[in-house]
Parts: sequence; C-alpha cells; structure tokens
Amino acid sequence: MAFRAAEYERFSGTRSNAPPWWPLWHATFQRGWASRWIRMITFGGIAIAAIISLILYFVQKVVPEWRAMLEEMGQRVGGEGPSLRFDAEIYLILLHWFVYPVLVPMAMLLGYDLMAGDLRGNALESYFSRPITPLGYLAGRSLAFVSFLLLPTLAPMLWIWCMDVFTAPAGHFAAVRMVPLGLSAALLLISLSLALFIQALTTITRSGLWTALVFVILFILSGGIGPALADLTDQRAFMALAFWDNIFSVANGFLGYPEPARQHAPFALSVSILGGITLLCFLYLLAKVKHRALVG
Amino acid sequence: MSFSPQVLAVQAYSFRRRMLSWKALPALMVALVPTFMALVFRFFAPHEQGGTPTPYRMYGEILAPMCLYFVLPFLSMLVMLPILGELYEKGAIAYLLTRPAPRWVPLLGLYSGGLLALLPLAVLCATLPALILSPISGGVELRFWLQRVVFLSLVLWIGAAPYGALCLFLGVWSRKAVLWALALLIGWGSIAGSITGPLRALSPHRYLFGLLRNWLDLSNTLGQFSVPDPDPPGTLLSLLVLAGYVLAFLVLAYQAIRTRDVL
Amino acid sequence: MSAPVIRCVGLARWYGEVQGLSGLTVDVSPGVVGLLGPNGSGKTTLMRLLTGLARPTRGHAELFGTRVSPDQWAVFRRVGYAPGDDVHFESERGSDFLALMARVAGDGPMAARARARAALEKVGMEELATKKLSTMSKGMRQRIKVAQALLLEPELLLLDEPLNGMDPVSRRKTINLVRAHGAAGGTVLFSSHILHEVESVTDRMLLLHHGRLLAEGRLSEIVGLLERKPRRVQISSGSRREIAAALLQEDYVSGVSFGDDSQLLLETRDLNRLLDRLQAYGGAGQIESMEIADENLESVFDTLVGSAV
Repeated sequence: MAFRAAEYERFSGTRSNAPPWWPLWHATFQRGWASRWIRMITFGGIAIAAIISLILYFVQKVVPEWRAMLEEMGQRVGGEGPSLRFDAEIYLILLHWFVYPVLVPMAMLLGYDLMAGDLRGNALESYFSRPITPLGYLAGRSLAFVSFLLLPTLAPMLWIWCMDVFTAPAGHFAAVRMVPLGLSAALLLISLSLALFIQALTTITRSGLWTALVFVILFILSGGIGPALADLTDQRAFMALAFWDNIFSVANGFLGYPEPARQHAPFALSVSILGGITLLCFLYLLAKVKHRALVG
Repeated sequence: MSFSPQVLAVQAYSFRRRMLSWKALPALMVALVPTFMALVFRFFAPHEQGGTPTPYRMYGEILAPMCLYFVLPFLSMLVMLPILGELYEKGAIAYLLTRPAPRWVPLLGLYSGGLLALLPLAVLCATLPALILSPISGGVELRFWLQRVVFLSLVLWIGAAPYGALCLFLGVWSRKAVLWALALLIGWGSIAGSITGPLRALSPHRYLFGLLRNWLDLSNTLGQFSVPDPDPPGTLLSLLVLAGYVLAFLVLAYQAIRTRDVL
Repeated sequence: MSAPVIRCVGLARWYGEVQGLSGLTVDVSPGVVGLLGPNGSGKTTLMRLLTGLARPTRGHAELFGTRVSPDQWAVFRRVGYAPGDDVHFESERGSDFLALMARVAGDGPMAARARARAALEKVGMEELATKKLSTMSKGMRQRIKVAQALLLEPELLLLDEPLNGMDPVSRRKTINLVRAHGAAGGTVLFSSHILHEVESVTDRMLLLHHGRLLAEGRLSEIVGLLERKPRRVQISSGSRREIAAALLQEDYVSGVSFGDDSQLLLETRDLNRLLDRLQAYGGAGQIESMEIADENLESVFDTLVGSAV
C-alpha cells in the first residue's frame, strides 16, 4: 500500500479542475518573471523582433524591390559560393541572433536554481505531500522553463515571419510556408533538451556556482572541439560533439535544409543526440524526483 | 611572527579538496580533452592525404596552442573559482575568517593548494596526447617529444598562476563570478591575447603564447589559434609580466576578502 | 575599570532596504547572556557584526576593548564562534576539520590533534569524529560546530542557535557546557528564538525584535509577564458548543470564541486548570486537536510592545 501524506488525506476543500502540474507551472513562471535579468532578456528578444519588423516595414515601403535587389547583389558578390536567398534559409541566419544572446543566457539564468533550489531547500517533500506526482512536478517545472525559453525566441521569430509574409510580394508565402512549423518543432526540441539537461546538471550539485561553471564550459569547450575534430578528420559527424551545432543542425533539418548545410553535423545525428539527451535527462530526473516523493 | 605553518595547513586542505572529491572530475575531463583529440586524430584522420599535419606538428601547432586557448582557462576556472566562491556561497568561510590569523593566510593557503592541484592536471594534459601521438611520429626523436611535453606542462602551470589568482579574486568579489571569469579568461585572456589590437599587450595569453613559442620552438604563426605577433615577447619579459599579474590579482583578492560580507 | 567583553555602539546594519539591526547600543559583561528574538529579529546579524563577518552600516562593535575589523584578527584567540547556518567543510572528517581550525589558529600538527580531541570530548563526539561531516546528522554537525567554538578555550563564546537539531542528551550536554563556561568566569552570548532554551542556560537576556533591542534584563521578569497575561488555547471538536457552554461556567475561563469549522478558541488566566479539564474531554474522544495558541515568543513581544490581544 502506498503511503499517503497526511495533508493529502485531510484536505477537504474544493479542488480545482486544473491539472496538478498547472500551479507549479504558474509558480515557476512567476518566480522566473520576478528576475530582472530574465525580464531584460525577454524584452531583448522582443526588441530584436520589433526592430527587424520595423526595418522590414519601412524598407518595403521605400524600396519595394529590395529583396530581388539584395539577392542579385548577393549572387554577384558571392560568385560560386552560397547566395543570399529570401526563403526559409534566412530564418537560419536569424536563429543565430536568438540562440547566443537570448536562449543560452536565459537557460543559464533560469535553470540553475530550479530543481537545485528545491533540493537545497528540501522543498520536494512539501510538494509531494500535495496531490502531485513526480511526473506532474517535472512537467510543471520543465514546461515553465520551456515556456520561458520559447517566449523570447520562438514568439519573436514567428512575429518576424508574419511581418515578412505581410510585407513580401505575392509568391513569397510559398517559399516560407513551412517556417512556423519548422521553427516550432526545432525550438521545442532544443528548449526541451536544454531545460532537462540543465535541470539534470543542477541536481548533481547543489551549488549554483558549479552548475553555471559546468554548463558554460561544456557549451564552449564542446563548441571548440567539434569543429576542430571535423576539420582534422574531414568528417562532419564530429561537429555533433558541439552542443550548439546540434541546435543549428536540427533547425536546418526542420526548416528543410538538411543537406546543403555542409558545415553542420548531419541532421539525423543531431536529432538523435538532442533526443537522447532529452530522454536520458528526463529518466534521470524522474528517478531522482521519485526518490524524494512520498506520493505517486 | 611566521604564518607559514598556517598557510601550509590551509594549502593541504585546499589540495585535498581539489584532488580527492568528485568535483575533481570535471577538471580531469577538461584536462583529458587534448588526449581525446589526439586519439581521434590518430584513428580517424586521413593521414595518407597531403593536408593532414604530422603527429609532431599536430602536437606542437594544434594541440599545444589549443591547450592554452581552451583548456587552461577552463581548468583554472574549474579548480580555482570554487575554492573561495563555494566557501562564500555556503558561508563556510566564516570558520576561516574567525581564526586568530590575518585574512591573507587562508587566501594564500587556498590559492597555493589549488595551484598545486593544477600541476598534475597540466602534466596529464601535456603527457597523454604525446604518448598517443609519438608512436606514429616516424623519425622524431624521443627527446624532442620529451622537451615539448615538459615545456607544455610548464607553460600550462605557469599560466594557471595568474588565471588562478584572477579566479580566486572573482570568486570573492562577485556573485556572478562565472560570467566575469568567462569574460576575462576567454575574452581578455584567450581571445584578446591572440589577435591584434590594443588589448593584446595587456593580455596574459600574449605572454603565455610567447613562452610557448620560445620553449616549444614554434613559429610566430600559431595556426588558427593566434595571429602573428609583430613584437613577440621574450621569455624573461613574459615571466615578469605573468608574475606581476599574479601579485596584482592576489592583492585584489585580499582586498575583496577584507571587504566582502559573509551573509 | 576594565572594558566590557562586548560593546556595541549605535551598531546598525541594513541589507539594501531591509533593516537587519538598528542602532544597537549595549554592553555585555562576563556571564551567560541569552540573545532572544524571533526569526529575522537581527540575532544572526549581530553575531556576524561581532565577528567581523559583516561590516556595520553605522556604529561599531568592540570585543575586549578592541574595535572589530578584519585587521584585528588577534582578538579571535579569545573568541569562539559557532555560526547559525548548517555549513561546514563537508568533505572533511569531524576530527580533521577541528584539527585544521586549530592549525590555522597557529597550533602545530600534534598540538592541533590534541586540541581537537579535547574539544570533541567536551561535546561527547570522540567516537564519531572520524565520520565525514557530510554524512553526519544535523545534530552531530551542531556538536562539531560547538566543539569548534570551544577549540581554543576562548574567554568569549558566540553561539548562534547552537541547540538547533540536537537530541535531548546533546542539548543537556551543551547547556551544561555553556553554564560551566559562564560559571568559570567566561562570557557566552547564546542566541535562540525559543524561550525555554534560553531559560535553561541563563536568566540574563537581550531581547531583539525587528532589529531593535526591545528589552534587556532578567528573563524571569518576562516569564512573569507571560504568567499574568491571559493565555489562549485553540481546540478542534465536533461538540464545541457543548464544551464552550460547560467551560463558560468555570471562573478561570475568561472568554470563548468560535473559529472556522469545528474550532473553538478559549481564553484563560489559569492555563493548568483549563488543560486538566480539556484532558477529560480528550479522554472521551471529544477533542480532535489542541494547540496552545500563544506559547511562543511573539506573544512576549506583543505583550512588551503593548499590542497584546
């Protein structure tokens, strides 16, 4: 017979119809939003989108043919190399502007104290004396984390897509119609793997300093080793050692450019790596949380 | 009054803490990165093709600068940042600061213990790749390999002294020590020290690259890790500048430990 | 006339907008002094200011006539401090930790070991000292912390909530140690937020509230205040109306009020008689739960600041 915490049995009030992880999602989101840094980064992501939208709008008003002009110029300058094209590929370039200054700092700032804080403060026991299961706890925390990661990345990029479609000449929509789906799928996988990975990392050590240190070093060092080894061995599979490269490779694939991007790791390998990280971290966290749970 | 026994006691603790806990693992992993690269190079690189460097060149011109560029800053951060940073984070520093000894005693003890712990890591970082690459290096004599291993270990350890002192200072001075360390060790250190610009002369990395070039007998072009230095520093100047940085950062750390509250 | 062991002159500390300690001026002479106050009253802040671990925003503190500052480290030969937080050098064994602390204080390796052993004996931890601090229970770590404070046989002990997490035997032992230290002419500043803990070691106390010194003097006076004050007992019962009606007939019950659901709040000037009576109801299964509502420091503070109900 499973042991049930006293508070759980004694609660006689009216229960809300919301799923048990919802209050945790809400609390996590509120806690994150209370941080000045998180708010600044979120507004930073939104500001990038706002500036790009304004530029798109005014340039379209002043020089309606600017896309064709830039493409032509790109072909002349680039020669045999890759030319500038205003199709879905432009969103891959745009992604760089959101991954480095927005996604990574956000993940670091938000992630290091989520579950680590609960473990440090012995809060898990309190959570599990309420009617919430370890899976619900993990879902509440992780989905809030993912929401935070998507808010300043996916939302502004989708807004830019809307502006792009709105201002572009007829026929452009066909070239970028897969972008929302591709971006959503890519950023969802990236954010989920990042959120679970950081939370797993934070549970190994309860020190915020150590978590930040290990994450930063893993991110930067893997980013250096991957390209160096790919260069030395002439095998681009080694690019998959670089955590950040998997992000771009996955985005490439979901946006429909798996093969032309020779400088990235193969799409299937990157998806497997990010998927593997997500699954492993999820199982590890679930086991870790279950260990502290009284209910469920 | 001599405080050296007190310093030595803290040093022994600091060394033990860095070497004999699971927290030594991340530093060990970072120290093994060049070994991993050497293994991949040995078993996956297309050696028959013209563009691939020889193992001896791979060690001197790719792995050695890479050790300075990536491995040294991260090793310094992993070993030295938590030494004081963690004690402050947890509040355990209170025990050391309420001893009848000046505050520079624990500071110096913790620093020297951490630096001592970095020595085996530096040796490991330089030796294992050589052990992997030397058997396939053809006609290169063993003494040349030995010379490179010894000098690379030495440069890495010497480099850990200023960067370690800087990390120690940052660990006390800021609660966002990791971000500061990243900006200073990678930005001001590795990057500014290997590209042209006004910051290069001030970066410890310029002098570490100087030592590396002089001791490992490398050319003034270190491939992708450093652009040629128009006025490469000599060995003595490099050592003096690096010693100056150690002193300056330790003084800053002492000021920080005198003024930061334990909350 | 010799300087007081502890002197605080207008000692204040702010944490941004939050007031940790506000203009504390007090002298402490030898003996055991209880530092009483609820959580957040400024006890730990005062301890940190006295040990130089935090800098005052205004005013200053003196120990043995020496103004506390990072450069006046020599005074710590005469001071033993046990922090309130449960922090240690977790990777160390208990005995190694103490020996390290003795060595940093200037002892040689052998002397440090001997000193560590002596301190461990005092707190009854000599058997368990080879365990790593990270694997010890909180109570054990508390004892190690007290041993660390006693290590240099100091004249002044600053103990920040030292009884937290200790089992009854260890508490008794620690209380005896504190009393003995005071009786031998030493000084102990013993902080706690639990009235009876302080009562068990001393009758002298400093009462802090919201960072201010609310009262200074004899603890017995406070206990007297509590005894004269009406006490409240809250019970939960399905037959609360019957119980209320019966108890209102008694002269020692000065008031009853009904709370949510099955709760009943009783007010009395003779707590013992009321508890005896309630025990009878409890025996008959008529009372589900009972709580003495104001058996805590807050009620003392309420009384002292004149805001008691």
